[in-house]
Amino acid sequence: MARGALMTIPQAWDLSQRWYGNRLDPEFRRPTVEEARAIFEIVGLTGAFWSL
Amino acid sequence: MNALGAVRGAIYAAVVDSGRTPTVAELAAQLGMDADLVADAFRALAEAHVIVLRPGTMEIVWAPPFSAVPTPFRSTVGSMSWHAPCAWDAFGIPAALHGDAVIEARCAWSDEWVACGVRAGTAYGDAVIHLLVPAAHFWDDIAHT
Repeated sequence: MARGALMTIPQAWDLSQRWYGNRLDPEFRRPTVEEARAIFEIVGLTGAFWSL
Repeated sequence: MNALGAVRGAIYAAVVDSGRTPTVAELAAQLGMDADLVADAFRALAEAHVIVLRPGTMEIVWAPPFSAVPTPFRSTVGSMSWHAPCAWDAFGIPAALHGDAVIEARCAWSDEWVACGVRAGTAYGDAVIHLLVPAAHFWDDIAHT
């Protein structure tokens, strides 16, 4: 398998709730780069692969 | 709500209700908007990486976490099922809908179906998700990612 990064299912669920939890809200906006960085860090997605 | 927000909201309402994404003409009629303005909204939403259009067309293939086209990732929330563009988005569907889900995902390595999902708010499943493209390059070619 080619190199990349692994994400556990609990991480995917945590990430998804933070990333998509407000997707259907009328006032939704995409996370900024800084917000995305914070989300990745909180979920435990760290390292060069997850750098933005 | 501005026109862009109205179009975005209508796109997502349609995909949640039916699993399919609306056309420019359908939304123009539904929202009472000029079709050119709706098309501009589609392009702006795609440029902002909110939706994904089939290249060279105005067809919405993805309104993440939902996919309007079949994929190896399917999430069932309640009595409805939707395809998702990827494994992350497969969990994004119950996240967006604030519910539990049964997820069927086909492993790209073994070609086996993996059972996973969300039960009582907690994720379950005996698998890991592999991502090949680094985060900074996700949108270089989102279909490949």
